[in-house]
Amino acid sequence: MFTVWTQLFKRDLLIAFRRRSEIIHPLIFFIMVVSLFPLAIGDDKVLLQKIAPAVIWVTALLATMLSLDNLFRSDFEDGSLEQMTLLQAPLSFLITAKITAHWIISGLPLILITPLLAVLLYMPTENISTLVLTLLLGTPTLSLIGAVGIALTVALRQGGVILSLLVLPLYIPVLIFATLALQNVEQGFSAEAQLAMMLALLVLAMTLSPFAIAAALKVSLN
Amino acid sequence: MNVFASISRLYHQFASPPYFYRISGLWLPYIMGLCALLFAYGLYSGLILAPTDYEQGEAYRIIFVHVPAAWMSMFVYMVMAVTGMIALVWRLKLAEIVMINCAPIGASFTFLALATGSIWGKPMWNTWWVWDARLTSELLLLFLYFGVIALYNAIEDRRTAARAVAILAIVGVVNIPIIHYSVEWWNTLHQGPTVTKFDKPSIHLSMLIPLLVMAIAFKLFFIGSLFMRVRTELLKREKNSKWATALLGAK
Amino acid sequence: MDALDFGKYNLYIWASYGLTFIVLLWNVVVPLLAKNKLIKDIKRRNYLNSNGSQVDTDNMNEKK
Repeated sequence: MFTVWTQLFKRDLLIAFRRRSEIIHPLIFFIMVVSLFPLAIGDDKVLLQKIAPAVIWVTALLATMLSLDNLFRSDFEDGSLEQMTLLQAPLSFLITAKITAHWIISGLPLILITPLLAVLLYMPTENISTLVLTLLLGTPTLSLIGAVGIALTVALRQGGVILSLLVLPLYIPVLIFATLALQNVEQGFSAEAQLAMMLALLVLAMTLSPFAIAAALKVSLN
Repeated sequence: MNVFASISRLYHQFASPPYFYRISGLWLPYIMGLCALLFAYGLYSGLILAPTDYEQGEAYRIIFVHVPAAWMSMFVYMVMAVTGMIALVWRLKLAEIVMINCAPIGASFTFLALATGSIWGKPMWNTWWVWDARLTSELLLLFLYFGVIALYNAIEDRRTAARAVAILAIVGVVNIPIIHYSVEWWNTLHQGPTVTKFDKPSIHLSMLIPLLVMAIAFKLFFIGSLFMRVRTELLKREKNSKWATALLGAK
Repeated sequence: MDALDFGKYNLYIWASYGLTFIVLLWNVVVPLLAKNKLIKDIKRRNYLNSNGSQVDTDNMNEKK
């Protein structure tokens, strides 16, 4: 069971590295959209500093949503997904391999580029570590919740539009706790409570969503 | 063994379309009749009998529709999720039909809660919208309902659509307490100076009674409207079956 | 009807209750219309079937 997990994990990473666009496009989207805000607002240091956490988080959210399509689409279309359901290992377990690979491909680059973007938005350097921490805890949660949405919509024609409708309300608690954490740090308080909540959400997502995703995939494969 | 056999018989009987159609048809006029009576009494006691509020004047009377609508929006979602679970586990067609017909009713109640909450907000906080914890949670609930309706309409085969929506409803129901809690946390940091009257622990009986009467009236109304929709859908899906053709032949 | 005059809050209260009435009405009218439409469609289909083709076009593309 574990060898299949590792094989699936390595396969997804390999495919992604061959198709670099899967990695690059969400990253470029992230950078560009974050840059839109200073362009739209003007070089207002105070205002930009104030909205920096919100801008970065909302854009990260949207970039994650955009990257979700890569998770199941190609496997769905060439029949590999169906093959995975026929394996002995439980589908919910194998899915975690795909999602882990997907997070490394799309979530991790976002986290790595974030300090640079935070500086562009005049964010104080002391707060950047908290920002990175919230993203570290939050993006896997976003990947897991988003995977439920994409599993439900992968077979649909206009899946992309419906995906956002399904997934954004579920993303909001993550967004709220992340930005609360950053506001706390901004005002000089500790963000421990909010970060603990984000960790709790992550653990909840890790334990429950694989089952929902597996069930949803089986429905979509119908 | 006997107990199980009779429960199983009851369960199979209840889930059968002609049985449900017949029983719901018998109950429907009484449900709607009682509902109308309760609405009448609720309106009378709420608008006329209940005294003027000390702080909010007459405007507080909006709670007699706003609060029941908000309660119902949550209740209907729970019903939808539970019937979704039943539909998923036992693949009961009736459960699928009940589940999906909860969605438009629940969405309309959520819309009503939002609209009346907004209308209440104008005289209270002098603004049409406030990002307070309850209104924000209600808005997200409305989005959850929209998601369910959109997903159901996007899938061609109705049984597959019902299964997909059941999963979504269950995922949503797990998220509702999380959303409420997070929004409340978010809001306590941004809250303005006003606290709504309903936050106070005690409410006078003369105001409580109309509220509860309206709440029950809304519940009965939900069941009645649900029955109406489910019966029509049952007829539509089973129109070629013996019981349906017999029924329709008589019309 | 003095009891129903709420002073400056009149518009808000009546707007709320009016909206409630509209939502409830919608939840009754839509199912009623759907049922009437269904009965009409079935009657039409029965008429067509008895006078012409034997094909049941309504359920043709559905999976059971």
